[in-house]
Amino acid sequence: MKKTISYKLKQSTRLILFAVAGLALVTAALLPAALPRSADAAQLTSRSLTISSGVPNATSLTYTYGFTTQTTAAIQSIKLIMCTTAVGTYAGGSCTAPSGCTGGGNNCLNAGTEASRSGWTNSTTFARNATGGGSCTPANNVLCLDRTQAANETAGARTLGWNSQRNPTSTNTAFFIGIFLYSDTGWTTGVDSGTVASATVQTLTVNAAVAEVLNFCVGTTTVDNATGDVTGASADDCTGVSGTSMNIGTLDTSAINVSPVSTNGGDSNNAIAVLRTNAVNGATVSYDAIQQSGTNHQGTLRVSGASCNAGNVQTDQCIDAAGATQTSFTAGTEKFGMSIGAINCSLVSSYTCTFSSGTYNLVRDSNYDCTGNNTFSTTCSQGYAWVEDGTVTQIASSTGSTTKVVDDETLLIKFAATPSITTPFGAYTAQSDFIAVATY
Amino acid sequence: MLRRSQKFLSLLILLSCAFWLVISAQPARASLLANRSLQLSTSQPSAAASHTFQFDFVSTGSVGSIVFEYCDSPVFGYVCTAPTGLDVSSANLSSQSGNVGFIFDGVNSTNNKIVLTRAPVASAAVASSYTFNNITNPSTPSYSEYVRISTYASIDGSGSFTDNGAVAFATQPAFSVSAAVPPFLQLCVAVNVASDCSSMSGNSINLGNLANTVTRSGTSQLSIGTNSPTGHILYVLGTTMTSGNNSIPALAAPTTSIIGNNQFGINLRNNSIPNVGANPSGPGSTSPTADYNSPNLYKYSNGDSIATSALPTNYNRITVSYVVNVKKTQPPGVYSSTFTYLATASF
Repeated sequence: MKKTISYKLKQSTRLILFAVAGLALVTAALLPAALPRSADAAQLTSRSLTISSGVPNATSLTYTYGFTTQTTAAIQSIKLIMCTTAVGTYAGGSCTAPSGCTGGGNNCLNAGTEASRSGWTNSTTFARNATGGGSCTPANNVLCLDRTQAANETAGARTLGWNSQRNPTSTNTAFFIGIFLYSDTGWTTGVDSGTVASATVQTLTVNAAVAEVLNFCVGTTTVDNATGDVTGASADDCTGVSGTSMNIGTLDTSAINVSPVSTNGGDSNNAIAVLRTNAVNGATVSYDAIQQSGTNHQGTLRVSGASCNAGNVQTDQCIDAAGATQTSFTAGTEKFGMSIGAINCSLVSSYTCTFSSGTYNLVRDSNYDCTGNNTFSTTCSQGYAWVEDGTVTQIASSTGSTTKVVDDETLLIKFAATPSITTPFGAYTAQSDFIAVATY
Repeated sequence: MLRRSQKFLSLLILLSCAFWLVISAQPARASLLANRSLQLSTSQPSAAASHTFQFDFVSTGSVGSIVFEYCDSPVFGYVCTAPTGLDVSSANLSSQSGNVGFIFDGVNSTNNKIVLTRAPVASAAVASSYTFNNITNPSTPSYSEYVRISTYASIDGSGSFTDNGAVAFATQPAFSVSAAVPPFLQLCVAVNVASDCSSMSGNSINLGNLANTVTRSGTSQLSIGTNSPTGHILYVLGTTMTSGNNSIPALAAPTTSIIGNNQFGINLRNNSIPNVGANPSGPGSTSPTADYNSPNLYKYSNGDSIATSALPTNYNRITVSYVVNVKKTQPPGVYSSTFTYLATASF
């Protein structure tokens, strides 16, 4: 019918009608720009919700909303509503609060303060309104925010972080939050809106146990410095350590035999003690002189089974022990003792260990510190010590170090002896028991 | 109204009791025993040792037993394999401190597990120590072993542990240091020697011109020490002073020095006639033999023992005085003699 009528219109009339229609279209297109902006609602774009934890029922969280407003208008109030479905967040939708966000004490959204923001034209912060109004009624799943700031917010991207939030309690469950912006302070005149989604997730716990570690071994090495590989590169730990005895050669009154001794029966060895532990309270290394058969001075360098005299007698088959306090030796004046020449770091790989700079964890006891500093010397200027009565005596410890764990640090142990002219000839032996104690 | 209040009060009491029961029935949360350590009296494999455990109780619940289980791993969830050779079945609790009152539970203890028991008492969160004697160490040398420590509310180590933690220890064979002391017989001879033979100087003495009006004398020194269990004997060897076929007769017996007589002799003492010599010095036990041990009496006989010690002796420095007198008929010439000192010792 319309078609029939149009065909019957005159050419001039048709031109007029076309002109009027075109004018109407142009007017319609320009009208939004020509008229003052109204509070027409638009869809927020680039919407996101970042939650500081996805753990169900986690509290004290910060929810950070990101969105891009389409409308340049004042934003003086905001409504945030948490629902189990996206549709539920929409205006007029039926919102079901996620589990754990209903009932007394189960507040999820209705708490907190503004924690962060970006992109906002006006700096006035938002505050939680516990009373609400208009379209916003505060609830455990509804947060009403407002501020007094009539100036327009330029359309664009912005974020708003809000703290003291709590997640729903169900695991691996999505939840949705509707964001409604209003130009007035009473949640009445809507501007833009949109919905964001997030989810609680099942926490995944990864368990691992680091067992207590104490690797300790005593052996021998031909190395006589602080840096040489004490295992000869055979291994970087106790598996490369061997030897249960060493020989400091034939003693002479004119000299002090200090290990390693390579002449007159000496076997060119030093003793070593290697310690590895992850004990957080550190570890100690001690020794006790094994009491040999015989009488008196059973723990010193002696002829096993010999009868020795009490006191410092230099005509029996027991070489006087240096004692608990470090002492210097004089050639020809009978003494036997031990000292630690260096902390050898050759097996350490877990941290920087350098003896010369004092960068190590296992610290020598002062009575067994060869030089009193971190300079290696083949002889011990500070002397030697040896407790012969079997008392467990500490010689090194990491308990006082800043870092108490120890990675295969090696005590380079030197034994020394000198006889008197009257020291009876014979084969002399001292036996010791080295003990490591770690405190976890 | 009164009955409704009573009902409400009864209900409140019942709910409170139920709440208390629920709370009290909650198992205590297991904590890690703190500052755990194990000190061995000896780390030698298979040795009889005492083991001292130290740790801090953390929980304060009731504790009726403590279990020390020796294993090849510190991880509680792993199967516990007893260290080879270990035996704690006869362990003796020799001391305890901190949380005390425990005794050795011989029924529930095994070769690798010590159970301490007591009537359950609330534990104090304090450092505690337990020392066990008569433990046989594991037999594998240079090996790390572990002890799992756990506390229980029960008196026999049954049920769930309250607190736990592990410690590690390492066996280590005894380490030996050897040295040899050789037989010593130290003898040094010179005009002057250090008492320990560390230095010496001079090998000749010039007595000057002999005359019938004066006694000529001189000295040399020697020092001797030995570690021979039977000491040493020191001999002097050599002839009296001679010049060609002429000689000055040696004194065959200890005799005073007489000017104008033909005499040659020595002794080892401090003399006044003539003023020569010094007494032996030093810490040793060497002493001159009788014929050479009298001041102002001189003798010389080739091969005589002049000093001796019956024991090992430290150094003694001995001064030998040489005295010569001649008659005016003594033929002229250059008289000399060479002496050798010889020490022997038995080892």
